[in-house]
Amino acid sequence: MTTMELMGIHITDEIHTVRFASKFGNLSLLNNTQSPTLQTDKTPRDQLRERLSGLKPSRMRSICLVIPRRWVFLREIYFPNLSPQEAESALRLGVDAHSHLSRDEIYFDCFAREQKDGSEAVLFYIPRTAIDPYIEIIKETGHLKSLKYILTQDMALDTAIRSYPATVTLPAASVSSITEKDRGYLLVTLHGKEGWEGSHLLNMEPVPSNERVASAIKQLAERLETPWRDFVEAAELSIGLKHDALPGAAPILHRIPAIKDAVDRGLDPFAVFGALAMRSYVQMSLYGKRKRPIRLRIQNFYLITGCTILACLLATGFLGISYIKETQKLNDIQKNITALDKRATPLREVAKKAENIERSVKILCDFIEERPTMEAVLSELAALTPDDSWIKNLDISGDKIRITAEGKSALDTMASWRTGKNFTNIQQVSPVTKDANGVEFFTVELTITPKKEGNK
Amino acid sequence: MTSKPIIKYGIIIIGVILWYVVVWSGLNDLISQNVTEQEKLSIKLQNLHKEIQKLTDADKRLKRAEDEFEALKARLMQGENSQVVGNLLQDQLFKFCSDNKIEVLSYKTERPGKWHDKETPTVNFTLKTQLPELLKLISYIENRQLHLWRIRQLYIVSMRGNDPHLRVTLGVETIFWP
Repeated sequence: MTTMELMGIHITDEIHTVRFASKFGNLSLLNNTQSPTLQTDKTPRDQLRERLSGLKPSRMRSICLVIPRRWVFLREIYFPNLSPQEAESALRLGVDAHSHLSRDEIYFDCFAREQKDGSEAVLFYIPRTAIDPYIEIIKETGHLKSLKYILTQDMALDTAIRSYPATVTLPAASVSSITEKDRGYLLVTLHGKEGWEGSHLLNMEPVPSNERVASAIKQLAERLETPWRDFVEAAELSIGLKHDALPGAAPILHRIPAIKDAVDRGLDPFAVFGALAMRSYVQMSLYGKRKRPIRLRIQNFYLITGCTILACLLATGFLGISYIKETQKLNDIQKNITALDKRATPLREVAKKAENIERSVKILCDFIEERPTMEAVLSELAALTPDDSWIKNLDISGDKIRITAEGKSALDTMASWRTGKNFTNIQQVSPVTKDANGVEFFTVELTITPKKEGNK
Repeated sequence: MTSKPIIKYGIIIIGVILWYVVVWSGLNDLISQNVTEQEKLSIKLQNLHKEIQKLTDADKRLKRAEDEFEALKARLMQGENSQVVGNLLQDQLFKFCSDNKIEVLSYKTERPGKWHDKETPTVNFTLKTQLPELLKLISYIENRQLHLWRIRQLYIVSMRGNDPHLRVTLGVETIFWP
């Protein structure tokens, strides 16, 4: 990754520059960042030209111009029933109505913050005549493409400290002492949780003294509302009312090593703030396009909507994958079934054919084996008929046998036949008669036991 | 104009509910159906495996059945119809009786009966014979190795007197297999 160069230029009655090299978010001061000896004989424009001419234009360089807060006009306009975005758009459209100069004669920027039942929009503007000479010099020296922002001192300070959220606890207030040739003033900046909340210039002409600083801050604190009153009073305490110790928001900058290091080397704090401001989102710039970080561009509603949609899509995706897997499994099983079915079809036909033939075989076998053979029936009958009995008539039809016989005892004969395994249901079908010799005549019906039953 | 948060978030909640009802539940139902269908098809697959295992010896079974059937069929009398088969049966019995000194008093080819939808040609004989010959005849008729005949009716009257003999009415049937 290439090294970026961050350059802050603070314009007052003289020019101060600071250059940082930034690589992977790590800052290091460049060698030529020492403030030159005060050249009181040259105008700030000449000083700037001289300073920039010594630098080779580079696309890797970003320049932030920090201008005095007192150069800038500020308007606060309240828009009822409008969201901050709508209020900002409305102000941009009607900027002519809120500035004392026409749109073409000024550089301006604005932002809005939410208020109760509406929004408060803040308009910053500066006459082009105040800035254009400096921009022209930057253009002449070939650095125009590097010029990213033009910030006021308080805005540069506010933006710089916001790039160290872990070090600086917000909200906070800072007090900066700014001394020019023949005058001095205090810049009290209110750093809100969400953004710059305002700044107050306290005139200290000709130069601040301890007593005047104390008195001015006390008066300001009395005019402010809570919590800003407490913060400003705390700032007053922290600076110890010693204006020499106020090179620019001293208590805050001493907590940030990069700033402290630069200021300890005698560099101009606002030039340092200007360089560092380019690492964070700039709330207001009179030049260049401010790039709002994505996290600030996203509203809660959009974030929640996005997250919800993402969650739904993810859940649907996982479920969809699960569904596809299950469907694949189902298809595999179906394919297997189709393949097996295809394999089984000819086997089934063969089995069916075999079954039909087996059925035919069974029919033929049953035909001859339904009943015991006649030979077996007659043999058993002959064997079981007592010697003193005589069968006169035998009629076998189907499974019925009708026998007309004579003998010594009809009952004994029938009892003997009952023992036969091929006969069941033996019963007389006519009365037994007896002749003079005691021979009994009788007719009996027997049922032939079906072969299978007989075999049991 | 600023929309009320309750409306905006309400729309999200309604969207989520709609998504849940239409997409999530729908997909879940589809997956459940898929799983149920898979279970059914798995059982079907197992049954198919078992069936195929059973059917692997279908060829052998068919061969065995065909052999058995052919062997049985060879013992059947072949003819154009049951009437012809009846006549053939009658001829064979008549021949046996002649060869074995069994006197045939009368004979008749009956109307064929039925056995499992198959016609059974039947012949009736009235015979005059002695017991050994009768037993020989019955043994011949019921010889399963030779033919598939069976005795449908047997009526024996023992005649005494000067010429003791048996008067037999015999009904024999076979099966006609076209």
